[in-house]
Amino acid sequence: MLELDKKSMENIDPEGPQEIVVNIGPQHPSTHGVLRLVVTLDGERIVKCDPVVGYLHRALEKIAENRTYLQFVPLTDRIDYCASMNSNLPWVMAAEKLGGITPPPRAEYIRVIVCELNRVASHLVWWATNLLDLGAVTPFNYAFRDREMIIDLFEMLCGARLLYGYMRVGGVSKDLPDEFIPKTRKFIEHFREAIKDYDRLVTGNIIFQTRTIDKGVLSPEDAVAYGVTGPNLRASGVSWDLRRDEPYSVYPEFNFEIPLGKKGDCFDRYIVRMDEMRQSCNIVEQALNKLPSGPVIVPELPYRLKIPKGEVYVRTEAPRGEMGVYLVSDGDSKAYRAKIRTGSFSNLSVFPSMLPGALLQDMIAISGSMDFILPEIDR
Amino acid sequence: MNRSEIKQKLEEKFSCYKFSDDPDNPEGIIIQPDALLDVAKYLVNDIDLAFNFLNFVTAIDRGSKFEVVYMLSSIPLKHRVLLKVAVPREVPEIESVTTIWPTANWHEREAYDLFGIKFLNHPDLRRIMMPDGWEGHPLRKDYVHENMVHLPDMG
Amino acid sequence: MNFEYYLWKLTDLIAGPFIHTQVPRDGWTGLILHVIFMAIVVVIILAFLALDAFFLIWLERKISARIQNRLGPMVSGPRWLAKFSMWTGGIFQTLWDTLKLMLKEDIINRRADRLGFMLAPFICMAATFMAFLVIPFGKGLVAQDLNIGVLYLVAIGSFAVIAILTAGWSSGSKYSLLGGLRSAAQIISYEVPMIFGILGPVMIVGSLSLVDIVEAQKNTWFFVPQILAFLVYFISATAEINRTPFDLPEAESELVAGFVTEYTGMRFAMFFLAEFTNMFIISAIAVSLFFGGWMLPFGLEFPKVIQLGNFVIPYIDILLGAVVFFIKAYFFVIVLMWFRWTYPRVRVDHLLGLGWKVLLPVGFLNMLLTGIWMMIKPRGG
Repeated sequence: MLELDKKSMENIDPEGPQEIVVNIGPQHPSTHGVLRLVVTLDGERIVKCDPVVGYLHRALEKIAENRTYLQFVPLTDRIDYCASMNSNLPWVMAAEKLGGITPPPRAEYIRVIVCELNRVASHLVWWATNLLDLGAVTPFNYAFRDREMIIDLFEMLCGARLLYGYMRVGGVSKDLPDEFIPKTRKFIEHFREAIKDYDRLVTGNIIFQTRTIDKGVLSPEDAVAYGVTGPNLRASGVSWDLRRDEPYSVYPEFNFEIPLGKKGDCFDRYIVRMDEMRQSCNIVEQALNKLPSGPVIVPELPYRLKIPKGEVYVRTEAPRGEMGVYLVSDGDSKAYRAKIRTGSFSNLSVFPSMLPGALLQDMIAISGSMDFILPEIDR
Repeated sequence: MNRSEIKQKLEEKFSCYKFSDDPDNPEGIIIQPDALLDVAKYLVNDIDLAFNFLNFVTAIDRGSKFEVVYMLSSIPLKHRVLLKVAVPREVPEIESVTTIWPTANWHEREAYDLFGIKFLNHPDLRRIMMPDGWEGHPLRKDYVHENMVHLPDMG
Repeated sequence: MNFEYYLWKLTDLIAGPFIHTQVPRDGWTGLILHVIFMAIVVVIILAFLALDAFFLIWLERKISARIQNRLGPMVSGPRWLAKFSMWTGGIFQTLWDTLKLMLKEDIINRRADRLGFMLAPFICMAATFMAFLVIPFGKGLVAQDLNIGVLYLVAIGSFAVIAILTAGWSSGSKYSLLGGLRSAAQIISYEVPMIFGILGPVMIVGSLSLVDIVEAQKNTWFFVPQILAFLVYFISATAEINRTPFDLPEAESELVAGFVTEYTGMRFAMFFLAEFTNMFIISAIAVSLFFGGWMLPFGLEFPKVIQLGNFVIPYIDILLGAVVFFIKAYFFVIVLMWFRWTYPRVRVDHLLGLGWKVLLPVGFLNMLLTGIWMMIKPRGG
């Protein structure tokens, strides 16, 4: 017997509560990265959960102080690798806003198109992994089949398949290739049918519903108090979407609905995200119809762009909640301080308070439905 | 509600504290450290302000002092404000706002971890990003680490 | 002669029913023939078990691939075969996988209880393979027609829980322990409804022998009057062998792999093999109890012999009966695979709730209805 075991055996109180501490992660199939959850279990019931983050901490905010605004764009991809386009956006928007640069309208439209497509791709990854956590393996393959089409579109656009680095301060790096628009339309047409298949396969399934309905309820008060944003907040019934409530880019020109949940349980979070994918398709379609012509980037912006002294906080609606950049410039070509506010960080902070009393399996279902992504938490 | 209106309301309510506009940030209000808790409670509870949502807490290293930054928004009223509190570098201490916005718990832990700002009465002030035994606070401007590389300045 | 007598007894026990009508039962010649036959039968059964598990693993991979829009393994096998369709590609996949597992290092965790850890896979495998003793593959094709066959199967089935609990406890890992505990709760709760499912046909026939039960279904398969019993049996049996949606003991998304987390190489393969063999066993039992075993529906029968010119091929009905049996059994195996690749996993308390609150009352109800029917039906009819 190991020394450690002997020690722990001595401390066992035979009359006391029979709790065990289980380390879920950092390497575990259901923590979607390197999240570590130190869970105290009483049988299968959770007594306490303490998330330990930081395994992916790369000090992006420190690196941002040592890079020009352009150089940092590829690093913003790494904030949320499932939605790189959405992570690019707040950074370039913050630099533009502080520097007084207005990107050309075509660039704004292209940004909306790629961001919404990436939102669909990101939600597909969530759909796949959430159901994988619940033990259904097949949906994973369907979701990745469709995500692959979006990735192909992006590859056509910028050559990269995961970390695009597509946006620039003052626009986007390249114009859309000729076949992008027809292929995107084709994808949307395909995806509207595919999502019906998803519903048939999963949404009505009785096992899925008993696993999710009334599990992991997050009240609207708690959600707001803990700074939860994105689909998780809307699933609790709080109508708060930055695309509508604090419009940025060209979002005011599109019609779209904000799907809302009623109870804030895992099933509502599921439904809200499914509806968001449909709405994103609508936005992409409208943007393709209205796409103006013209340049896609402000011409002759210096590579070593200097941004006047000042501060700005720009926030956008990323797939996992509010992603914002708080940019402090002292007039140099590098940021003096950049704080990156991400959705998952606050979403994870509410997670331990949702758990006590739930079963271990519920914990997996809840964490799956909350859609954490670890690089976004650790940055 | 914009900054001047919010500031006016604050000045009416708290005549004992001083409020000033942040010259850098069009939505920033600089407040005194000892006013923080009172102001925060008022911002949450007043029906015309209703700042029920704390976006983040962070800090800026300004050399001789740290500026602790609170970004607030109001979900029902759709307006936002940025509070700034300056704390001295030698004694970087400030009251925690965790009791008012629970989300501040993790954000303050992050600011503590990366800047070394001590939040008083915080329920669980541990490092969050860095390993437990880490020395120093990485986001301070004077932080050095043997593996840090500074890119050459390109022009 | 004592020695000769015991040898006769031994061969009879294992291979007797297959051969005793065909070989002379006197003298040393008869005995030698008998031993040879016995050896052949044993080899056939063991080879079949191994091949069956191999085939099932391959089949599962192909079926999951078909369900998931993939091709599945396509490379490890004759390339020219793989050109025809996805169903002919990668036919040696399981073989190479098994070789790989055999060559892997056998790691025993330092915290593990060595004896239990090493024994558990063997217990699991033995418990599984012992069930084959009483399964009638065809008319007369049963290793030993025990008169308590059904009882024997139930007893053997609950043996597996010992293996899983041993594996979970002795691994020295918390994931394994939780998996083992879940498994104990699950298998114990599902054994009861499963027995109630089995009881239906047993009540009608009045015998515990599987051969008797199959032969009683000459005209009507018990599937028809005993639909409730069949459903109860099939659902409980799925839970009993830890298949999705009831695969909680090895839930990979919560418990990594449950009780097999710490196992590597061949020991892991044994659990794996046992799982697939179990799948075949519960399907075979379902076929025997509810779907007429080796028999055709509506009382149809195969010809006993086929005459080709001067040639007479005997026992053709036994052969075709076995084929029918396997077709039926594989159908249920495929249904089980279909479950696995479609459903999410149930939660542990829902699982126990389903067993005790739904399946058990339904099983009782079925027993009651069967009893009433047996009371009112005309005697001898």
